[in-house]
Amino acid sequence: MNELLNWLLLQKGGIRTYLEFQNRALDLRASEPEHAALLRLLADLAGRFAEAYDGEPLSVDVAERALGQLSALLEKAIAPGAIGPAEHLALLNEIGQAELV
Amino acid sequence: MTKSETGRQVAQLLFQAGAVQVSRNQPFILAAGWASPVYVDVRLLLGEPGPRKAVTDLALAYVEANFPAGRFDAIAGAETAGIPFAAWLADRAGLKLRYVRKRPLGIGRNAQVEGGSVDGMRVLLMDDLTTDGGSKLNFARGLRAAGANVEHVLTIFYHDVFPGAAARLSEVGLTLHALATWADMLGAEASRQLAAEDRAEVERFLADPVAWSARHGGRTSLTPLS
Repeated sequence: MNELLNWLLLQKGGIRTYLEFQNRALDLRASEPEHAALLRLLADLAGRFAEAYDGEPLSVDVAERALGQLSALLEKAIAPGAIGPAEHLALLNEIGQAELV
Repeated sequence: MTKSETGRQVAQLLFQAGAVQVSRNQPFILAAGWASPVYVDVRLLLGEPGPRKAVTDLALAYVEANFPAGRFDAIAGAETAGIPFAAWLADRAGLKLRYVRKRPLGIGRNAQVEGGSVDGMRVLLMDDLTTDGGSKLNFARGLRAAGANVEHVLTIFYHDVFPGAAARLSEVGLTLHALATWADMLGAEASRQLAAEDRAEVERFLADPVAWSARHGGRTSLTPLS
């Protein structure tokens, strides 16, 4: 997931970023099955945002906020140090309830 | 009708439909991450019978003038806004219609192409708007994976300011055809309706779109963002 975060931090956050993020996150489940639930939720979050703006450009503010939110959630997910099952579940629930912007 | 006459007429329709939106203070971030002071919402041609008939007439005339009769078996509309334009053109041209999703469904048949088989067919891909060509590559890949022969893409408007789109498509055997480009837009009679400050900003952007984008929070270079 570090590679996914490094890639995301290089992006400027046009809608294609979120479609590509969705594909990358879903693909990553094969090599990191222990993070499959997390990656599925993050992929869905990015995909919902891309669907919401289908064919529309973003404003600079929306682009910056959405990219910041997605990056922050991914950073939280890969923060160093093991977290217990309860914290892990809480993070999954947080992402499950999140919407970008 | 020449390409520039077609371009000017399409540009006129776009201006009349209010499709040219300028935002000097809050730039748009386009799909590929470029910042731009202007966005052309081609979908505004969909709603009213007059403009959609006019743009379909122009698309049909373009196809008839630039391809031999019988060159295509089907027209495939790109999800989302390419679909209605493709449907009207296919209807007028008497061709089969298909549509192609941004990605396969991932369930069931996992289809990316809908409306019937395209296996062995010569297909014209149609979309409303092209910026850097990235999404067209994806649609063409989907059609080709389903067995279609796709060599041409027809778009209503080509936001032709960022270099490399036509070359990128050409590398994979696709030729881009646009009914209108920025040169047509600025040459259209109706472009006079742009406020002077808006037109000046659009011209500054068009003079160096990469630098403009970089100054306004968008992508800073043509190099793909890995």
